[in-house]
Amino acid sequence: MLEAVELTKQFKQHKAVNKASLFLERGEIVGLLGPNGAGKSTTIAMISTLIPPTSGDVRFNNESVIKHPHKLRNVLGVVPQEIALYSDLSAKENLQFFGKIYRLSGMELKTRIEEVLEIVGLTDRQNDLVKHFSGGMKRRLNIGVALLHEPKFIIMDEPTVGIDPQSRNYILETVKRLNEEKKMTVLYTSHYMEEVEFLCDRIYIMDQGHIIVSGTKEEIKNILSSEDTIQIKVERANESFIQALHQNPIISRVTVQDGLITILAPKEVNLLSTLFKLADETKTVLTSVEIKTPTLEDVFLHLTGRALRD
Amino acid sequence: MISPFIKKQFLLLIRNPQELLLLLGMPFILITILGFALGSFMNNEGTNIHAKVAFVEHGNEQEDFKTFVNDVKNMPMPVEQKEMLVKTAEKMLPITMLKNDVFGSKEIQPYIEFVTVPPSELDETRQSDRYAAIIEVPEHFSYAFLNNAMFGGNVQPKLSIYMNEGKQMAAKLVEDILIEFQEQYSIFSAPGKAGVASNSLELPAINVKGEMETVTKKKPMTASTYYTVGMSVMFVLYIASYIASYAFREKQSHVFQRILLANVPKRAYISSIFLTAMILAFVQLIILYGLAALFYDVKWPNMTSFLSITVSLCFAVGGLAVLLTALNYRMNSENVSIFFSSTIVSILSFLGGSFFPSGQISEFIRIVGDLTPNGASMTAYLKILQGYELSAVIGSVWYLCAFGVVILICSIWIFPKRGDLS
Repeated sequence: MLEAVELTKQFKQHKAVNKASLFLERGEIVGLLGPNGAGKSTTIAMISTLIPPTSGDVRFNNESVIKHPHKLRNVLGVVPQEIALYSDLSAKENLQFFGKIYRLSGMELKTRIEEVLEIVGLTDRQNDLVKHFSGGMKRRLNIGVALLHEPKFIIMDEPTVGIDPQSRNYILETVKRLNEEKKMTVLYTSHYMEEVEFLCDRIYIMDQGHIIVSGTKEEIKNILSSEDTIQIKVERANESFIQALHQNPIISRVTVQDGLITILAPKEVNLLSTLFKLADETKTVLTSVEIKTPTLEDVFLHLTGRALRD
Repeated sequence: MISPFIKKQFLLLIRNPQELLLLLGMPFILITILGFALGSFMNNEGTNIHAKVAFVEHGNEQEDFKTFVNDVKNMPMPVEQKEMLVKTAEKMLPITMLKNDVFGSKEIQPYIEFVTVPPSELDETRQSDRYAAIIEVPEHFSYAFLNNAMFGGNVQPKLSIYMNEGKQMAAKLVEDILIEFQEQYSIFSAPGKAGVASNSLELPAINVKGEMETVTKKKPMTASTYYTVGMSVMFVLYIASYIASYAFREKQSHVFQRILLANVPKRAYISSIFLTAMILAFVQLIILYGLAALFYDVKWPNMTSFLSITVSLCFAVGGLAVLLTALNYRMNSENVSIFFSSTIVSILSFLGGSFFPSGQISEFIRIVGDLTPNGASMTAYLKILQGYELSAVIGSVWYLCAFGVVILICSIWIFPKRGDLS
């Protein structure tokens, strides 16, 4: 088991991570969800032994790896958020270089390179220079490099940032396959809640350096079991309508993003009649009203008052 | 563990035409341009001359004069004639005139520093590169001169002049002054001759040309040869900044994190930087010197010496590469290597004499220049090209190795620890 115990990282006056604790059991996919700047990358940099924590501990099989990181590093693959590749080398040359520094050689290296190229779907493009790859292909090779030494654990830091939906799906399917077929344990960080919902068995949600909630998808969503999420579209934005929603005591939260008004309110309240009444009073024309089942995004909104991608 | 790093860096370099142009194309173009354009300049060493002339006197002119006076006293001639001879001789003392009226004149003083050196230090002085010329006065020179001038003796007085081929213009100036002195001397001594007309004295010639030799007896240097060495030792420094910049970009792109996660020890990474820079520098120098041999006939008389200097210079460049990498990592910026390549290399090259023999400007610049890795190697390379043996440059070889070791140790100390690396 890989475990982070009350990890804290302070950079001068700024506390990037504050007493974050999480664990990974063999064979599961754990999501670390949070907006940009929440402290996810710093947390995984500490877990992967790249930076020492200011306080707290990282334990692998009940042994601290802060001072002796080698044991963990041997079984750990890390996919950084950045494209950590040599763009003037081909895909194969990149894999050869990283394979050799992982002390692979000869037939073993050759076989591993072929397998990894197969996994990330780049066998046909193995001799092309990375600088000629699309963003999605670079992301796939970025993952491939982390798989070369057949790690038991893999930490992925927002591996789908800035790529097209097709490449994104490919990567998500690849992660799922690695977990199911190779029994690889995955810590997956993202600010896309749909990715985390699709992949992960358990989820940690981080904000401003704190882990604010953790559990299975269902457990987290149950936080909102007593509330409805209602999304309203209006013909024309009307400030007095928004103000009226804010002032209404039965509505617990109101957010407006891209013309879409999202409100949270207790389930037992008959909110629809209240909404229509407020619309009528403020002369607002409602074009659609949708009652949704809660998402992780709604949970984050409920807990922090902000959207994940604010 | 280190070979993948070296292979990777070679692949990256050969796929980067801009870097290749800077490291190989530019120096070769500059060797060509400077070799042709400044060929005449090199032969004349520029316009600002400050030459040091060593004066080694084996005898004593006053003693020679006393001996001459005694000889005259014992001669069978009238007292008046004897007195006239002595007075004339007193005015003709050649060494006194050379010291006071020629090299001591206010016209010559700004250009030539006249230093008296004891005879016991002659050999050491001849080996030194500090003097543009050495004037050696043999024992009883003035006595022989006076005898020859007054009585037409058989022994022709001779001055030995050692010219430094490395300071050709200054040496030529000294030579010209002496020839001029000889001619002036003839005019000056003409009244004396007239004064003792009855003895029909022959004016002796101070033999300058006949005894002229170079300080080192080594081959002179052409501009192409000079700039082949000058540009090569300058551009090899860019290898250090190139490697350091690339290493920093590895950190920026998080490739370095991957290297750390592969359990590559810090010392192995530093060694890879050092060795890669060293090998690249070696290849660069071999290519440049190879091209120079092919196109400009710059041939190395002693390959062992050449390789010793080249390897030790590459060792120093390896150390510099690690130092710049460590500073880049420490300051979390590529600015150190950018500053090095844009400014420091030019300063080092100026001090080291890559553009012109800057050591001739002042002794201070010469000393500082020889402390730079490019300057030390340049001095050693030029000596080898002039035919010196390895023993003459072994000091430079050791200095370059020591330079590499010292900055390598400093770099390891500067290189950030694990916690400061991300």
